[in-house]
Amino acid sequence: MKKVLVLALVFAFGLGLGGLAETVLETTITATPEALDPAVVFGENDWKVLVNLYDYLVYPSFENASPMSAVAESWELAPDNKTWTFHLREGIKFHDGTALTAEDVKFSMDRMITIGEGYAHFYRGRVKETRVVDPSTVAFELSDPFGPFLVTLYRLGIVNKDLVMANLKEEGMYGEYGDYGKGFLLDQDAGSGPYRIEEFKIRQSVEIAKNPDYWQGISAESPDRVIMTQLREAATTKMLMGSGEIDLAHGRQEMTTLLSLDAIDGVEVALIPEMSLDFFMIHTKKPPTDDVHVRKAMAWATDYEGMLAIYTDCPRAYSPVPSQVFGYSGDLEGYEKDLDKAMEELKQSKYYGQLDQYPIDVSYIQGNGDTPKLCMLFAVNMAEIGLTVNIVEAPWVLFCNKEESIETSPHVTNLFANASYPDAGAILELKYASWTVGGWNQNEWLQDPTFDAAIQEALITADPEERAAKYAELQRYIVEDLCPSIFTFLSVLKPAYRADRFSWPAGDGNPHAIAEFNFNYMYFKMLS
Amino acid sequence: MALFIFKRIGYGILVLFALSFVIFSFIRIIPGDPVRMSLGPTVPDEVVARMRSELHFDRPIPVQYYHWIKGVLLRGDFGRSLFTHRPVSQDIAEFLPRSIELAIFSAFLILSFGVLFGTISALFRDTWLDNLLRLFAYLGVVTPPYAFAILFMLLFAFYWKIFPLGGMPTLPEELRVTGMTAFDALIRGQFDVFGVTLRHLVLPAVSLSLGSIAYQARIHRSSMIDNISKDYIAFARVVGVSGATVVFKHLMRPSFIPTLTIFGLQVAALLGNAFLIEVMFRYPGFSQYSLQVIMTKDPYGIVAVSLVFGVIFALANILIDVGVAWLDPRVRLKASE
Repeated sequence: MKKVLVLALVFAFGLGLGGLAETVLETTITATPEALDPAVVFGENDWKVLVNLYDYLVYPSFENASPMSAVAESWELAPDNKTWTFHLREGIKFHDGTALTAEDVKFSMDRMITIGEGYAHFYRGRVKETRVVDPSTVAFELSDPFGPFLVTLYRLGIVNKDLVMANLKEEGMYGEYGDYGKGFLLDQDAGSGPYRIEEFKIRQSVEIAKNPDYWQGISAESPDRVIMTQLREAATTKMLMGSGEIDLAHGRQEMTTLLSLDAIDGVEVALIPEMSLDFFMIHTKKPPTDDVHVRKAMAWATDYEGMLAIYTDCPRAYSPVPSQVFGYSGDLEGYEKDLDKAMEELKQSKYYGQLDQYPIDVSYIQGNGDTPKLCMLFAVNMAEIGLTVNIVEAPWVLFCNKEESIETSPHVTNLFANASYPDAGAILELKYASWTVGGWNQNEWLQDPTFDAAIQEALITADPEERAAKYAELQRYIVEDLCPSIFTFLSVLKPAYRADRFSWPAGDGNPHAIAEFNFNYMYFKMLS
Repeated sequence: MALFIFKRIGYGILVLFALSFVIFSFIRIIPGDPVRMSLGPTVPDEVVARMRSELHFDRPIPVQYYHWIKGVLLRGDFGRSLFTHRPVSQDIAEFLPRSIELAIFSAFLILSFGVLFGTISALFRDTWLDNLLRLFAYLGVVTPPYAFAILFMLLFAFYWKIFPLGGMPTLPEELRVTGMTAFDALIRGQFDVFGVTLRHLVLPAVSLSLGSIAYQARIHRSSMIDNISKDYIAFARVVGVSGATVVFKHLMRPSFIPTLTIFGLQVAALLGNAFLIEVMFRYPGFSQYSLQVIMTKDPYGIVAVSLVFGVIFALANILIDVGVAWLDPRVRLKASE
């Protein structure tokens, strides 16, 4: 009888859903992830995959990346602003069926801090201890208050402790933990996310498959499988998109390629603002740009509208903080092209009258999209106020080498820098704190004690309103007093996609506030 | 002859040792910290120092080289890639066979069609056929492979869907023997996969080999024309040796010497020159991998790929020398002295 019932159900199911074949979404990425390990990776492509494989204590909202409950149903901060306690949701299971508990959260945090790579710098020296209060409660004790702690947890993918421990390699640099599962997590996942890894071919492709037991439930319309192929070549991308062999192309195409893709029937281009800005980073310790009047003159001489014409559809930036990030100060007017004001500033400079003796090197990374055009326009703008600019194209390795020392860093570099968590403190610290010099994100070599003290003070402020006020003052200080950088526009990802194949929030004009989270495929709906 | 081969191999090994040391030292001397680049600017210094220590980067260069070459010789371990985070030997085992497969397929086309067109051109010298083939040869030599690639993809994959738009099927891991998909499919009896793989190989192989076919045809034509005017050919014709015997026995063999020399070097170079073809056809090969490790300054990756190319060129040279000695009795005689 049971067999008959099962057969009948299968038959009925078959009739009802017989027309629904497995749905596969074919996408391209600029590079495959380096690993599937949330304690190791930090790149855009890594996180495009990891948002699908792992769960997080809290999940960023679409609108403004504010924290919403995810694995943690609720949380509280102790009155000393140092202890965060999270109450976990019951019934969440990893891909292998093991229950997710507080032990796994503690293991994930301890592992991330010990390994020290990826986004561990959010927590190293800040998280004093992680305690398992009971199987569904975990507490993080911080050494000092850390205002943005909650939003940094978007980067703490929770790994399956039992699975990782069962796959430790003895040889490794983590003592009793051997390699701490790094070898295993190179191409396997240990998560509980809406998708699980199916196949990972490094520098070729990543294939993920829907997790039918996902605790949030997952729509039947979401793609059953997603294949992400590494592909940067424009001609091939156009042909594959034109022939319908890919559904979604990565969002870093050059403008001409994007126009060709957009012209294909059924193809549309989504606009996804990133937590990233284009910066002309000005060396503040090297003549003549060590003089704030020269820097301000450069800011007044820059043709922002011209730059926006090169990178179309990108919003103008007026502050070092991306506009969708918490703590952005919308009150700043920044700079517009005004040659009179530029000359006024220049005349106040100690170098005025001898600027021809100080040619300015402007460096950009070879092959970095349309940044050469930005630098050429910048050179033209500077010539208008009598500054001589030498444009230097540098391969990535050489570019980074030069940034390592204050002597070899060029006068100006052009680069996109991004906030690694949605809080103004992330990008202000990265760009201007004295402890972040020597990396490619800070050509400014600001080393300003006032700024250092103020950013530290802001970061330990738990109250969001109070912290936002401190960030606003810091932004004013940077823009109006120091002017160490010229902020041109907010970076926008522009993925071309087949609107006749699927729909997704970014395509509907509702992009997620954190760019990588737009590629959580559980929010995609296949149309055919 | 055996001594000749033995000597050539001995010289080859010495050259490879020297090459590995020079490349290793060069990579370590040029400024910039590959570990910092791999881990990112925000990773604490002690984590960077720990990884540098694990990789022996905190030791003098000769000590670093000693550890590396010991690993290579004793365990076949070329070190760990800072960017794929895997043993470089594992990366090579994955990417190299695919490129070798593409190179073998291309080499077959180069030799077959290069010799065929060169022979026809020489035998029909200064006729319309010769002129037509020479025109194609000129076009082939001056056109870069990526231009052919775009043209062929557009014509034969995009408009007329005869071949796929790149990519390469893979066999399940348990069926892997050599890592060369077509070859493995054949020996495992997976004939459907073999057929599909061949279809995927056609356009990249043809795009990659057309320039070399054209060059080979020109070389072979010149060589045959040189030999046609030799006295021994005239003598063979006078004594009544048949035309086919003259061509295939007396003309083809000596004409093959320059053809073979060029061919060997062309095949070795195919592996390095296939970068754009591999990118355009989404062909996950060694040429693409090599460029990526160079661009990212992956120290062990760079030394390993340099060594692999060194081995391939050394082997190609040895095989050319042996082949030439086999074809040319004078060389064989000298080698045996």
